[in-house]
Amino acid sequence: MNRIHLARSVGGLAVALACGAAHATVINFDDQGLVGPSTFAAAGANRDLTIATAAGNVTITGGTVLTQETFMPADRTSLYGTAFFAAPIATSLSAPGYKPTITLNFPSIVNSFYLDVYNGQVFNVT
Amino acid sequence: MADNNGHSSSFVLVPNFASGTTQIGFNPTNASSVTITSDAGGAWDFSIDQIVFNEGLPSTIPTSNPVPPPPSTQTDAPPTLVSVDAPPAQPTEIELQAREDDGQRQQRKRGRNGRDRVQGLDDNIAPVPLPPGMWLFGSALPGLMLLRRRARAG
Repeated sequence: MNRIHLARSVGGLAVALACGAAHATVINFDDQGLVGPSTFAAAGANRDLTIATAAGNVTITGGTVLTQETFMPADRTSLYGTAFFAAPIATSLSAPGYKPTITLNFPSIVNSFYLDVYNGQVFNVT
Repeated sequence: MADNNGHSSSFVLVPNFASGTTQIGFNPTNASSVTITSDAGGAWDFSIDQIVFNEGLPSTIPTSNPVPPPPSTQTDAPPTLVSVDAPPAQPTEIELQAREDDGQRQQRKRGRNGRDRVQGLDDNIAPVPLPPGMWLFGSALPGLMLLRRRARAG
């Protein structure tokens, strides 16, 4: 009887911990079905994204989605990018222009964060 | 790369035709917003992909040392221990503690101008203020003299 009780307690604790743990989430633009042109010129205005994840909606602003981006041999899939030559002037409230900063807003505090960054320039950039 | 919890780190991105990919990250962040900014002046051109959060950093990520958040600027933060009219060489806090342990009972009393005064350490004595009655009497004295002059004139 005590063993059954103990097993139930341990199981309940495990479920509680699993429910309370933060969701590990990966955002890949291809998995989101996001596609775009290969150049910023063809993309036109910038495009803010709202991506639904298990942890809630993540918003990404400052650039646009490009697929098979030109001069980006490192990754031929969909990327979210920004560039100085890509319509930096705001065209509307929903397209405030490309920024030198890409901002990611999470629905809640995240405990760790990493991503792949691709340099579009032909020189080192920090 | 920075977050809204005071962390920031810089990474070098190799040119686009020399792989061009760099994986960057924070661990932990405890933040709800992250910004990736190019330091290429007016020639920014970069893209992102494969965003991962709430998962430990892989060992392949360069170990950047996130700058810890600066101490919060508290307006009521206690001032540093400064002895008024003290000689240039001041005893450290550890020395003060050692003296206290030796039996010298130190009383730290907040002094004027927001400074802390250490009493009993260098025999500095706080100036004794004039009693309020002195100020009242001093201000009333000219009035009394004026009344007496008027009474004589009358």
